[in-house]
Amino acid sequence: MTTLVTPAVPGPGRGTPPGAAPSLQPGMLPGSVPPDLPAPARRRGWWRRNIVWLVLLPIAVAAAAGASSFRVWAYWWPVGLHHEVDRVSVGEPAHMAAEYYDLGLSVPERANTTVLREIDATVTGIEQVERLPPPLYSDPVAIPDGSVAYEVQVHFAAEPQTDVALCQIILVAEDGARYGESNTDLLGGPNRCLPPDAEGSLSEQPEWDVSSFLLADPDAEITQVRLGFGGPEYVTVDLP
Amino acid sequence: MRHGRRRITWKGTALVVGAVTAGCALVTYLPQDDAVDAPFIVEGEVGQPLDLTYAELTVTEVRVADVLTSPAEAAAAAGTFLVVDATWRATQGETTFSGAEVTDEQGRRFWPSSRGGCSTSASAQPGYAWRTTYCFDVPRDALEGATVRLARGDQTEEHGGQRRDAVAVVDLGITASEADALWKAAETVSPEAPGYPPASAGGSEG
Repeated sequence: MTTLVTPAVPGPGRGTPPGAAPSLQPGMLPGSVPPDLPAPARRRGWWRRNIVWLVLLPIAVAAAAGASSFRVWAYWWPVGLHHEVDRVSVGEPAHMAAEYYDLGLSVPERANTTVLREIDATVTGIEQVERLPPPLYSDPVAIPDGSVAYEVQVHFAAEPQTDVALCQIILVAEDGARYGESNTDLLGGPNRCLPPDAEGSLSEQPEWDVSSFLLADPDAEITQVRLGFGGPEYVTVDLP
Repeated sequence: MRHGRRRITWKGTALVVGAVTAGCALVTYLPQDDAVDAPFIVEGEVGQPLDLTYAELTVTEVRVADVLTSPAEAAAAAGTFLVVDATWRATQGETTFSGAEVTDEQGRRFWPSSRGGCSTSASAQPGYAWRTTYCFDVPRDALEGATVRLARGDQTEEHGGQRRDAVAVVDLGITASEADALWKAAETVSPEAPGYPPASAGGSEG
């Protein structure tokens, strides 16, 4: 009697038994035909697989920057002179039309409304002076040691009852220094855009003239005059 | 092409956790504040003009006082008042100089007092010098080697307002023997109100 002995099937991980064909796959009996395996598809590159996110990334960055930049327009933009709305030479009228939020301090009817301030300003003269005129209400002001004083003459035209609060008349030097940025007058006047005897911040006449005095460094080379009302809009007057 | 959900592997998990851990360690242990936020210290001494880019500063005089007098009050010091006269001259635009602080050799910090008419800050524009008097109530052992730190940025929150900005540190020049003499002297000082420095030959009056 002949006994057929079937060789044990080698399990996975045991390696190829001695004497087995080297091309035989684990778990297959000798003589078996391996199934046709599908050829692995060529894998797409990282850029192709993430194309959607790559397109969305700059949009997300722009959205994040916009959302986190609210401080620019909430705190920086409204305070200070950032937007030049007109640029003229000495003797030419500069037109400024800008809206501001009125708290009703001068005209109660305007409280909590947005008001359009339209005003024409002409710088008619700027000169260095040796002495300051006596103030209307206080003691004489001396030009401090190490400073020079300038007088800036401006002609304004606007509808009466135009609010010129926070008026600024600034001299800008060639190196960028800004002289007279404060809206407080050197001689103690309440408003630099109104005559010294004016009360409040409202214009009374359709046209009027003012002289504003400010201090500068002796070696400053003044190149511009800027007029504004706290910002962000302002006008520039180039000096010859 | 892959099909189905990606498997979470030990290797990937370790990579993410390791990266987060490394990032936290870098932020925690590297001297980031010193490297990124350090102010630009301009050192000097009394009487020396210092260029802070946004202003020129001169500490003109240092005094001590037991009592400060002003039209409004007479203020007695708990220790002694270190009275520092300084002159600011803004160079760029209207500037508020908020920072004022005295530091002693032990690193203790003393902030200015507003008593007796003293200033705790100053504001000036380009075109003129502006005199300001600061008063610091300090103990006896703070006098020797004291320095005053003045800047436009304030000193709160560990000098948070002075990051990446110029700061003046002026040695007040008080030695050990001078500290004893200053402490024993009974002085009364009336700080001058902020204003233009005293006029000299260059000024003219209208």
